[in-house]
Amino acid sequence: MKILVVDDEQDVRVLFEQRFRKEMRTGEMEFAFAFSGEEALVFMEQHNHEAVLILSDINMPGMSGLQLLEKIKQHYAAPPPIVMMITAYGDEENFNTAKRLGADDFLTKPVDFISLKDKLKSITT
Amino acid sequence: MINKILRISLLLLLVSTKGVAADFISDSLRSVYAGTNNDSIKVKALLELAKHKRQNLNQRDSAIIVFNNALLLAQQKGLYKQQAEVALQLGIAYRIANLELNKAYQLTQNAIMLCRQYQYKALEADLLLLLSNLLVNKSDSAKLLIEQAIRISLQANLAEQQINAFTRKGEFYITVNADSARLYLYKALAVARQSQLPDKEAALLQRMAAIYSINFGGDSANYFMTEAINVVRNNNLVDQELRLLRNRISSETGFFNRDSFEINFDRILTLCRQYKRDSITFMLVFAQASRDIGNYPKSLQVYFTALRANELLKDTAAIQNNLYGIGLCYQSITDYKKSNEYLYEAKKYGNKNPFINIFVHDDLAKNYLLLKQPDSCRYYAEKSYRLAAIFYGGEAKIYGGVLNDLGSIYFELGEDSIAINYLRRSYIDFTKNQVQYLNFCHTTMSMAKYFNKKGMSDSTFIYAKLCFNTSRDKGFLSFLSESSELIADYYQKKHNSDSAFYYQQTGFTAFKTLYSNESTREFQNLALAEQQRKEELEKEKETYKSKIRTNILLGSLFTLAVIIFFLYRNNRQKQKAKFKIEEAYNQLKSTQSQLVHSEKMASLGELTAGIAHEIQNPLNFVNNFSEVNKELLAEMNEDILKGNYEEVKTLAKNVTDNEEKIIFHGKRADAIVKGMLQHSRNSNGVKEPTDINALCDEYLRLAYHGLRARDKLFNATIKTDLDAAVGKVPVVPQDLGRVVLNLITNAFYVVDEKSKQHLTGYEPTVTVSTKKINNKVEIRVSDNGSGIPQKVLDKIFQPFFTTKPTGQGTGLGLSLSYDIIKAHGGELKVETKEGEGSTFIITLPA
Repeated sequence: MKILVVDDEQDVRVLFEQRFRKEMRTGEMEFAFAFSGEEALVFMEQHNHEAVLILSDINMPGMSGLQLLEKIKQHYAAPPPIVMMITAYGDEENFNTAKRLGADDFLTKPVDFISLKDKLKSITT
Repeated sequence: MINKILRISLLLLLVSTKGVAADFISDSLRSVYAGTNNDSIKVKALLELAKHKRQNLNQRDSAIIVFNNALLLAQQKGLYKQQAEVALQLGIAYRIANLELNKAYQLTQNAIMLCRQYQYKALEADLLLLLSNLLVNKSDSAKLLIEQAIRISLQANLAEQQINAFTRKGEFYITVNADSARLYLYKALAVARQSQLPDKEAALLQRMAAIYSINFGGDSANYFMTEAINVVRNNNLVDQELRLLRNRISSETGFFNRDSFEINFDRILTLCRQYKRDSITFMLVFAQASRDIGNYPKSLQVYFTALRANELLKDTAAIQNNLYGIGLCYQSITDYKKSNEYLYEAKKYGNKNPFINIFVHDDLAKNYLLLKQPDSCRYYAEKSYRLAAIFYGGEAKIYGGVLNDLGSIYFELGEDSIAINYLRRSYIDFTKNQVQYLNFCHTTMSMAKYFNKKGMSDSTFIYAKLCFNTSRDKGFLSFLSESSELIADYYQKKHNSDSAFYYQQTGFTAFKTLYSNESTREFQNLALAEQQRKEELEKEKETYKSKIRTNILLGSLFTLAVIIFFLYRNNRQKQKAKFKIEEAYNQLKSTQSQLVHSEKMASLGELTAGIAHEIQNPLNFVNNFSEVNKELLAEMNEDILKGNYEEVKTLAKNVTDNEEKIIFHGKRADAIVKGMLQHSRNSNGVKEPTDINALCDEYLRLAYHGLRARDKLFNATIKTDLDAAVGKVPVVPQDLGRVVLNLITNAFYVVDEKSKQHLTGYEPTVTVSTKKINNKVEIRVSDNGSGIPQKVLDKIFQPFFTTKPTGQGTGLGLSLSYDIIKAHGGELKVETKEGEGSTFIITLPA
């Protein structure tokens, strides 16, 4: 299963590659990166809706993570990918909107990579 | 005979009712005196006339003469009871005026003998109390006399005398033993309640409140005052209620209560209207209190209303007080020149109000100090001291409120020994006599500052803490914020950072409240109201002119007369308009500096949320990459032990790369903090070569994240088109940053407004672009909002113009931006199409 990470910060890619280097080396996890909501949608289109787990930041210029979430959950109905939202603002409003739009999980920055790793492992295996 | 008795009882009723013209009462009493042959009525008339005069400060001497006449008459005609009555009242008059106390003592003693002879119990008790009161410094004898009065009043079952005697005994203990004082006042209170004497009951409750307020028992004092007001209100004692309420709204008394003072003022106005009492004096008290707690707009408004009323009444002493109050308001909002104008106006009235005159000079000194004119300052400070010495009858008797003001002035002038001398005398005055909270704060704060300067930190702490406690209880925000600062410093030095933080927070909150948007906005509204009135007046003028033209066409003699009449009116109208315009202009000027400050703070507020987000991201990277490096290094050690050197090489490269990331994001956070400090700092006005593209990019991000943080639903597409040829341009970076931020924030605001209309296919977009054109640089901020309607287009750069709902904009952003760009020798223009959007274009010389 591919994991698509969506964040406007370019260094997020490097960070994930380092944090999950062992899992990537063993092929246990496969990561792809998109730097905006729009790019994420293009990626989904190109990869023909293959089963992915999406980790998306909320606060991005242009299409926000929440808008991306809405689009994904509407258009990719069978089966809908798992979407986890990440945001710097752990407030209730964001949380509720994300839940309403069908987010499967909600993480706040700074991300605890150890628990994230556990979560991803339990989903992907 | 019956007729006359009726007449005099009617008059006596009048005397007890205030609000009847004073002259009328005096004249009537004189005519009663002249029109009767009954000696008893004659004495009674004289006695009432004298009592009436005694109430008036200026007529005390003549009151004493009339009392003596009444006494003589009663003596000659053998009217013993009246003789004792007059003696009692005359003794009180001497006591009040602090005159001929020995003579008063003799007189009272004789009267007491008379009462014993003829068994006038009530009078005897009254006289005994008076006698105890006359024995100022002989406390044992005084106590005995009070005991005697209590005994007589209990034996004869005289409620009023019991109350007076217990009260007197309570007061006797006030300075020595507060508990005993309260005990006797409670006894008096019980009698008053039992005998249903509500006026006495209320007066006693107020006395209780006073005792508690002297001993810093704020809550209990509050309780008793509320009780007292309830009692008088339930019994319709209007004047007593007004007196109590006056204490309640006066920041100079210990009864001041910030929470209820506006409600109490409303109640006063209602009572004055309903019972035809004079409300002006209350207005002055209220205006002063509003000023003391930092509500300057309210204070000014009430002062101006009172001033108009006083001018109509030609009450010069009140006008002087009024002008002085307005001067202080302007002083509080740091417009010292304007303040001086009003103080000089007040000074013209000289000793019409000798008490105020002292402070007029004192505050002139203060203003000159702040205007950095030490010579003028010293001149007025000395003059104020001399006036005070005359007013209070000698240097040693000068009131603490004058001394603390002058003390802090001399402190600022650097004359420390005079300063501390005055301040100490003032402190003693306030701790020995009744506490006046505001003044007490002033004195203790000044002393704290003095000790702080001398480096005596424990003394600084003690006085700052005294000031802090009182100002917190009473809500004197400026003292609260000042004292907190000194206390926080103290704890900082003691390395007690929790306490330091607490005081810093308290001080900051007080400061923020004091200079909140609320009060500046009210100022702004006041200014706007004046401007509107100005415009209406001008319209009116136009109407008059057109009428005149029509009349000329008619050409008749009659119309000529009308013309003359209208011209006259017009002229008067013009003069009125001129006055109002000037007033409005002055008010505008005084608010401007405050508003500029608040605009800056507002834009800082817009930034902080964005900054928090902007810092969060780089910090996350720093933390994460550091953790990863730790893991990598552990792995590396293992590989070294295994001899797996190829892997070690790869890991080492990863570590190096990560280090670079750490450094990069660390610097990024650093730059953001620097940028924030730069924005909040006062602009130094120095131009320096600045990377325009970087500046635009930085503020674009800050504005975007700031809005996003505050409004989760907000979203917009950002486009940038930055021309690398722009490079560095000499500008004042903080100032230009403020302009760019303002334009971008506005752009985001309008696209957000439009997106709330849910138009299909609408994508809110803001574009920032730069371009180098010949020797000029252009910055364009475009939005695809609703555009600017033609009718407001020429107003958008005017100060105070805003299309945002009240409270959301100061209406100064674009006007300040315009001024800043002009100061750079550049231009700020706008292109707009209704329904399609606007572009603001900054052009700067490169």
